[in-house]
Amino acid sequence: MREKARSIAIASVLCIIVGLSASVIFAVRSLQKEVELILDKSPDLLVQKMVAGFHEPIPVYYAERIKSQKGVKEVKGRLWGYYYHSGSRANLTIRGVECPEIGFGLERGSIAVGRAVLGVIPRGGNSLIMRSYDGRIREFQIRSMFSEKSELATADLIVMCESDFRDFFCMSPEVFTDLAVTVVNPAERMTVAEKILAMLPDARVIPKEDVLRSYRAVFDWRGGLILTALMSLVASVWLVAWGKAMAIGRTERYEIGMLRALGWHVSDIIFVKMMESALLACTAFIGGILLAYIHVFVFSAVLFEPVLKGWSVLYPSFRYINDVRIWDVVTLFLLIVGPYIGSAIFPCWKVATQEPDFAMRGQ
Amino acid sequence: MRRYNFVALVLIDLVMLLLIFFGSQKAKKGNFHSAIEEMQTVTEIFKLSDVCLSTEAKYLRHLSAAEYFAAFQDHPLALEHFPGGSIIPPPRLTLTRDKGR
Repeated sequence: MREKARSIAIASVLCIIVGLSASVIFAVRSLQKEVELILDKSPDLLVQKMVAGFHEPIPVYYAERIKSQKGVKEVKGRLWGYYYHSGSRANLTIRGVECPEIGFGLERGSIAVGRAVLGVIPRGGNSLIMRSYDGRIREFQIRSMFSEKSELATADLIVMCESDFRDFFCMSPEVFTDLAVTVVNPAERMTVAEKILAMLPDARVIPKEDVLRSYRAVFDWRGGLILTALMSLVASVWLVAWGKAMAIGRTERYEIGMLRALGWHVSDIIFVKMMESALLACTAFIGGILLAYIHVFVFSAVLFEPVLKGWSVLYPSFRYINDVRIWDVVTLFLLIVGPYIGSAIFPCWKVATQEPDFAMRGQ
Repeated sequence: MRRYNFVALVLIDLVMLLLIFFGSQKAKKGNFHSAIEEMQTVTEIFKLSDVCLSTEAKYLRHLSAAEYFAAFQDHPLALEHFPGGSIIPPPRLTLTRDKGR
């Protein structure tokens, strides 16, 4: 009975460790994939003007100069900025666009908002009141809302007309926040970036590759950080498994002795004991993977939310896409289940090689 | 281990494997393609360059526009103190001139 309870306890701990580790891997892989797919449609190059190391609005004529470069297909000025909503202590991202060409039913005085922005609006309200940079109180009607499916890209986003944006932030029509450049041949992105940098020494050019690489690094680092914390738990499981293996129970010792007395070979006994441990560990492992699936893809990795959220007031509700890779699962299996099975074989071999009567008497 | 325990565990494993298999098939068939397409459309229309992983600080919200020395983003001695800053490292830039900035 004690043997059984001990096995169940070890299997449960193993199951939870596998579940947590697999959750991290599944969530990180999913976000990596999702971000890569989304940012695939982001501008080829971003050009910002720098003044004394700070990002400043870029003059419109910079766009003309960049457009004259060979290999440049299109240059669009971007208008965007931040607004700190003091009532809710939330940071909002505001984007100015050409109305009504852009769609979304936008016209002067109206805005399109992301789902999380609704959190700063009083219940039942259909407008957002903000204080403009010249001190006026402005009310914007909410014309449309981005769907919850696009929250990862639009959670804290407010889109308004260019004229409203310039009016709100008291921004001259001679400048943009930065420029989005589309190149003719994506393979020449870096060459065009270097050309722009040579032509405009006070500019900062950010190629799409850099953005993607930065985000990839975020997830590798973030996942690595959590996995490092979990490694101590994995190590403790190894320790428990090793402890269990070293102190083989009286019943099990008797059982091995009996099998030997009945004429079983040492190799047969080791094989049977290995199968038992493997089955127990596999059950725990599969249970852990199932837990991870439910945690990440059904409950949107709710346990990790506090880590990811930090002090963000507005936060998107992630919907993870399934991008589980078989090698991640195999690595986890070898890391956690392998040592457990290995540690079960050694004591069985030790007992099985004794004389059967010694083994049965527990000497 | 008794024989019926062994068989029961094998059956439990099989049931769990089936659940994982059908669950993942269902998740793959779900409306994620339409969600990704929608996000790609919004990204393309508004020329967005970042995803919303954190809204704590501007250099965490817009990683593409963050400086290389993100810890001193706003003024000298503006030490990094946001929780998100510990899990979102500064951007990786290739153009050498930027690295000095």
